[in-house]
Amino acid sequence: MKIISLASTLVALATPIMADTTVSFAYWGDPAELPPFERLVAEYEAANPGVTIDVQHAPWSGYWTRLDAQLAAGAGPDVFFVTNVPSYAARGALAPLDAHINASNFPINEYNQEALRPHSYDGQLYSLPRDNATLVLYYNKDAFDAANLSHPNDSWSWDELSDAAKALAVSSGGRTSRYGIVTESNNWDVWVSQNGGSIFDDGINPTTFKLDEPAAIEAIQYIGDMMNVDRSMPSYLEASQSGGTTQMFLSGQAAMSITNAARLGSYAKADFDWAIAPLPKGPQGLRSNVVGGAGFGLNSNAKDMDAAWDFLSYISGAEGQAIFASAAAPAVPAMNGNPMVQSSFSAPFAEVFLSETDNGKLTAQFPKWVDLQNLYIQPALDLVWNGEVDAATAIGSIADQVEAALAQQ
Amino acid sequence: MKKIRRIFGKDIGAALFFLMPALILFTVFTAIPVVAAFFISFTHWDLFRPPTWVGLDNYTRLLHDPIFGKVMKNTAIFVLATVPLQMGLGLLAALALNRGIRGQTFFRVAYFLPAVTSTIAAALVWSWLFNSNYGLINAGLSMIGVDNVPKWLASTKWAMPAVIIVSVWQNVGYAMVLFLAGLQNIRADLYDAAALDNASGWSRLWHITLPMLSPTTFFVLVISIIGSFQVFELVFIMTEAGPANATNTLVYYIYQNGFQFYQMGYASAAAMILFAIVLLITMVQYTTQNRWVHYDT
Repeated sequence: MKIISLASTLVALATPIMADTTVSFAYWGDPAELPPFERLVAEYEAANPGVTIDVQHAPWSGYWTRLDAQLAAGAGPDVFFVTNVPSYAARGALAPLDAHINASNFPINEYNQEALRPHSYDGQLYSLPRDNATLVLYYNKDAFDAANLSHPNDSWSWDELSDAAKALAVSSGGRTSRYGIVTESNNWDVWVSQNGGSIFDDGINPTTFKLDEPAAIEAIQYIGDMMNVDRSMPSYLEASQSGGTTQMFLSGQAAMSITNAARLGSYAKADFDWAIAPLPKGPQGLRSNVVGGAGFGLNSNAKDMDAAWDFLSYISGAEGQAIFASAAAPAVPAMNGNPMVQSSFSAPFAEVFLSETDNGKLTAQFPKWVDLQNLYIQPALDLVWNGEVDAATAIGSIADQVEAALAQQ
Repeated sequence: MKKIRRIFGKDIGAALFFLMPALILFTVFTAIPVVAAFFISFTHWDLFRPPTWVGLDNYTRLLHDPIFGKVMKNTAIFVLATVPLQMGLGLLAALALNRGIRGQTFFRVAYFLPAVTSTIAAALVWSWLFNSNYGLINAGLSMIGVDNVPKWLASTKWAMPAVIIVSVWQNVGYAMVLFLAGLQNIRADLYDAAALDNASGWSRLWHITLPMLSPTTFFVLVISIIGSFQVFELVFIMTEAGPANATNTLVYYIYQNGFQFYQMGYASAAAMILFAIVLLITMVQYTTQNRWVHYDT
């Protein structure tokens, strides 16, 4: 890296007219997710002669170790794909984007405004979301028909969902051979907001812990009961040991699956008929979905900040968003206020994904969120998921500790 | 330095030259990081911004951290359960396979295989075996009539025993190989003399085998304890310290604080505690060894 930047500096000094710029760009992804990234880089380089994009790709598992080490050394890629944005912003690794956005008239208003919130810290925006990890309800039509159940539709609420899940679950000799539904472990907060509850008073600047209030407790218990009373949903641990939402739905071990658009690719290979419905409403008719997905940030140590911003504004602009939205593994666009981006999102059941994206609601994203989740909230919820303790007791036992940790921030 | 010179004489230059590759690797990847961690433990450091000196703050915080208390307790339980089990079973296997039974090469390989199997792969397979719904273990338990099968990795009661079982399974073979080597170093004339005195099998085991094996036992004890304190991969793959921190152990907690919460100072302080505990235990073992370890052959 040092040599490349030294070389490009020398070249820039020697030939001021044909200035040669290199912008390094890091992202993760499975092979199936890479084509849109590669296309973006190729098209940007073609449109900007003299600019080279130095691509640093790594699979998810190795990405963070390398990125953290590079950033710790004061180096790292100029533009990088990132999650947990406030944690990186608070530690000074990301450059604020607001000044760049204003100076270049970037169409930030075409972004889903709620989807921008998890990418901000202390009133400034630090990254631009590539997509929104919108959840939908995938269901196995054959399983519903065989059980003579009516298919999920947009009028469903929790009761219909848990009744159907119970009816679809098959067990013999104390062992379940098919669950009614499988869900993603990190999305329990969606149920909380569907029931009118929340984790904190404010997801970005929290001062009070609200997960111990009745609406939230009820939602957590609803999930726990599906796992331990109805036995219609595997615990998150069992689901992950059984291959998660991908394997369990595909192999027929679960008749419904609540997950995001990333599963479209693998579910296309299913040997049964399936379809997609919106998430059910909460008992009071509230709709809610997740907000946020990974975004693109600017290294605060970027060598050529303007060049880096120019590339970032391209991949996060209408053209870049359209490329991601139209990829074979489509991403639900976060810039859904732009007609071109919206029309290029041509995934199956696109209208369900787009309407559900509008229900996105931020529950928590701030620098200490990872710590609080791992130290207190996750261990308490573990006890509800495995049926050892009820939700009120489990969450009640950590409320004081979380409050104390919030006060310390 | 004097001692080194006495050993190598005027060849010290050549000696250092040949030691260089190992010395450089040790210095760069072990010595410097250990010394650095010692200093980092007196700072707050989030990896990106420069560290700030906070004196003993991290250590006092550790004292009042209820999760660290639980982690210490879990680690103690893990060490106290795995060390005697893997040593006892390893010794039994070694004694059984030292008698020239048929197929002993096969059994030696079979017992040693887990020790050379990738921990990650083994932990994954064991997770499936322990799966409370589809797993083979619970299928077997319900077949022999156990009604209330444990939830293993999902249960606060059974997750730690499950991790202990896998750890013992993995380490028995290593202890066995060391014990086997030790057994084969015991002079045959001792047993011949005992046979002349009509000593029983038990008394030969008690008065010859175990005392003569004690240097090996001592070595296995020291490395088993150190290895047990450092358990990480099994926890990482099988339980991620859950449920409810029931399997959170020292090295996993160090990893969490360092690389999930970016509290390098706090993680380093916990690492120093681990270092101190292991050092202390090892020193106690060395100073008490002359009461039971016999080096005469």
